[in-house]
Amino acid sequence: MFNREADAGPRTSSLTAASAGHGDAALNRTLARAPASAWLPVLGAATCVAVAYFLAARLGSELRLPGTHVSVVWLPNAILLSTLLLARRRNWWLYVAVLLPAHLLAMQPISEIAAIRAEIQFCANCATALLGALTLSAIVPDFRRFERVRTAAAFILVAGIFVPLVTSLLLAAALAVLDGTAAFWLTTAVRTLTNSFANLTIVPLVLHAAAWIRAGNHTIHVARTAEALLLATSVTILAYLGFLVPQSFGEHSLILLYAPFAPLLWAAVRFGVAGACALVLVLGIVALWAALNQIGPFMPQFGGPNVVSLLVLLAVTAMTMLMLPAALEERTALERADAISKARFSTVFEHHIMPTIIWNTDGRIVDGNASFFELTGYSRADVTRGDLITTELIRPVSIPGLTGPVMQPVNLNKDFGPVERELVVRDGTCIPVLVGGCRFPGRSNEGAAYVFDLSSLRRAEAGRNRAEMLHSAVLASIHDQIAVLDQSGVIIEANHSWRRFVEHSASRDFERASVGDHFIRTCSAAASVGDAVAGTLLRDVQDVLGELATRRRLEFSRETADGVLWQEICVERLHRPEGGAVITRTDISAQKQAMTEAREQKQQLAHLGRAAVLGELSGAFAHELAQPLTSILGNAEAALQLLPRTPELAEIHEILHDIIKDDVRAAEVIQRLRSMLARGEIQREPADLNQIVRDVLALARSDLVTRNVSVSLQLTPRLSRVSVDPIQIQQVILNLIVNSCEAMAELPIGERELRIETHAMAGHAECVVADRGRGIPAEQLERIFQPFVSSKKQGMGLGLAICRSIIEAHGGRLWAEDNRDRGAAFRFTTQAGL
Amino acid sequence: MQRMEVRPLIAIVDDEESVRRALGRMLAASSFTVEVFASGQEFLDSLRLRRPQCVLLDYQMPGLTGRDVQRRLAQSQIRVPIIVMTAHDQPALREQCLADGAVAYLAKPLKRERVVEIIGEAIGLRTVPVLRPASET
Repeated sequence: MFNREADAGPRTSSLTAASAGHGDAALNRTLARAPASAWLPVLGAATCVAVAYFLAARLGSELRLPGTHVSVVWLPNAILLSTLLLARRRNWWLYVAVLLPAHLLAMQPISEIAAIRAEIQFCANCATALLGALTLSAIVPDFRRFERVRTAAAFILVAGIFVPLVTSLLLAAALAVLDGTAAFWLTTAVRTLTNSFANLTIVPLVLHAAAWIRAGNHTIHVARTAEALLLATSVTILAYLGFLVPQSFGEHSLILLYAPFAPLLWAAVRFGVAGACALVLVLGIVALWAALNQIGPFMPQFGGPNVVSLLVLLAVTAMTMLMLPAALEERTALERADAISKARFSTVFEHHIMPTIIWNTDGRIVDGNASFFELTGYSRADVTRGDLITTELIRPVSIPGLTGPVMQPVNLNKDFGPVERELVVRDGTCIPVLVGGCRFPGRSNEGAAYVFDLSSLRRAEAGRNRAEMLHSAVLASIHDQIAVLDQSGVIIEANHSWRRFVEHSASRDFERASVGDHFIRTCSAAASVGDAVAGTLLRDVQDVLGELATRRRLEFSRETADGVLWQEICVERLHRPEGGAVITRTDISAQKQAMTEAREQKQQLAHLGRAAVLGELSGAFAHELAQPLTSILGNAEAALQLLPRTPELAEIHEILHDIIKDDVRAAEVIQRLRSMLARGEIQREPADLNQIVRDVLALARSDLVTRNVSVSLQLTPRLSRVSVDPIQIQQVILNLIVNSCEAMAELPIGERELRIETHAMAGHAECVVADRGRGIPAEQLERIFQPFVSSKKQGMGLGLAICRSIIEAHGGRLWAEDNRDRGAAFRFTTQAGL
Repeated sequence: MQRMEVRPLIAIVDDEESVRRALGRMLAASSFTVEVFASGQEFLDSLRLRRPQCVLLDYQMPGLTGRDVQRRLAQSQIRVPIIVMTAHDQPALREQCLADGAVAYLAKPLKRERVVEIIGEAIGLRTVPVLRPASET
């Protein structure tokens, strides 16, 4: 809808508002209501046209065929036709309306009949013009410029033949009704020809002038203007000489008639349609005037038919003058387009980064672009010499070990590619390339081909392949099991060890996950049916994937036919943009075994050490005590023997004194022993009782695991430090733990629970080691701390005694209690606070 | 009829004075003549003067141990019944002492009845005045 108004004059805002969603009719109505200022240029143009029409009509009425009302030079129709072709359809009524008075004014009708005739004539003129305009715009879309032969031919047919003929026939018929059929055919012929001549000269001229005005590029070339003027004047002079005063030349007069055709042709070639039409018009008018007035070559003896034949000549000349420039311009335009196309191709060819060549079917390379020469090392001189042959340069891919070409050589007779070949460059090396090309259209025996260097691609591929192979080899050779998860938790890769484990050794559900399985789902399913390890693993994987941690590690054990197997599972974040994680499973049974053994040995060593000491000490102990006991017993026995014989009381006194002395000695021995057992120098330092408990548990872990004892820790946080010898306190706690474990040895596995607590009391810290074992009868609660009291078959019963002595050396207390529900609890205190 | 000595001489060798005194009293009250020695060397030296019927020999002594004394006696072919007494009751030691010729190996502290019984057996005393019937303990 808007396209039609593309070349419209000033618009109003109501146009845009009203035109949205309306049809063309509405638009026209809206535009019809535009303000008066829009009509001024149109009115101005209409006035100019009217003036021209009036002048042309006057001229036409002067140059009438004798005895008729038919003029031989009738330009007004052509003027109106041009106007209608140039103007917008909606303004046509205006032009027609303005021209009616001009027409009447020009014709000066004196009588009623003359007026009617004039009106009829005017209608005929308008009809001619309208018909011409409508037909031309329908058939020839771009009639404004006569650059194409086709356009010119169509114009000639329509405006030069069809329209004038039809309308003249109709008009002549109409006038015959009025005037009778006198000179019907003559008038028809004259009118047709004169209209044709007028259309063929005036219309192109006016259209070209209008286009020139609109183009706006009004540079005046001095030379060209001078040439135009020269032509115009020469034609005018020749016309004058040839038509108006030929008799002065005598026998040369006929030749002078042909003279104007030379400059005319020159004008057609040099100034195109506009120049030719202008000159033909001038020539025609002069000739016709001469013919009508029977001067010059038009002798009276030839009369009327002179004019008709002259008109035919002029019409044909005009037609030729239209076709010739069109043909010339068409060829020029083609040449220009061809040159542009060639320039474009040349630029693209030369600057393309893809090495490209022009080849000939005889095998030579005819041209190459800069990229080609850069790739191959050849030069343009090689190409010019014709040294480069396609079959020599482009070879089939050579496969080592295979002789002879493997693939078909490139067939240059049709389109080919892309195919892989090898290119031989100047220094003889072969480059892997991709070759493709095609033949030029038409019957050309040349074509273009591109050569794409694949070497960097191949290198990258080879590098990538090497890297991938290395990666695979490394993964396959790693003993640990490795699986790679993507960000969503799906296993995207697993190494050989992992897969083998899944196939042969997996016992728990979550261990069976392999490539393609959703690991998170597998773990969560296993966790929901009670697999605690799966639950921990699930949480670890989710934390790593969710970037809450970069690394998580868990250990777990399971019973197999071969014994206890320990596995360590590490989940580590995969550092790449897409995220993901790497899971590593390692069998750490051997390590665990070694650690357990080491711990056991350490413990044994500690035990042994102490046992050795105790062993030694017990010898000394026994000896030290045995002596005073022997004395006491001996003395007592002696006294018993003596008493019945009524001995000297003094001797009894002595005996009793000795007994007391020995007893005191024995007590000293025990005291000394106690302090020796406590190793005399206690090395006190500020220590955290909770940490001491944890250290002991670390030492005892393997023992606890082996005995299937679970530990419940209730350590009071932020316990203030105590001044103790941590190693001795550790030994006390260790002893208590071992005792508790032995007390629970006969309980079912799930019930072996050891409870260790720490408390902060007023002035001291307290530690409790409780078990769920047999418990201790009330009367034994103190006895167990006495030396040589043991419930074990092979125990000396010194453990608790030593513990107590250690604790007491620290200024604390150690005692036992019966647990409320079951078992026994041992408590000791240490001085708290520093 | 040959009259036996009613109070046989028992030697007590122990490095502890209280033990010597106590055991001396005990044996004296059991109708033995007692002579006490503080070391093995002292005892061996005294053998030149007179020989006891039996010797109660402490094993663990500084200088000459009980074992050394046993050996010396054996070397000198002096036959005196030896009763070894010790604070260590170790089977290996017991075997060794008995193998070396001791008639008994007693762990301290010593019970009077047991000592008297063994001494009686050792010196073959038929007429030891038994003041109290031997009771099993």
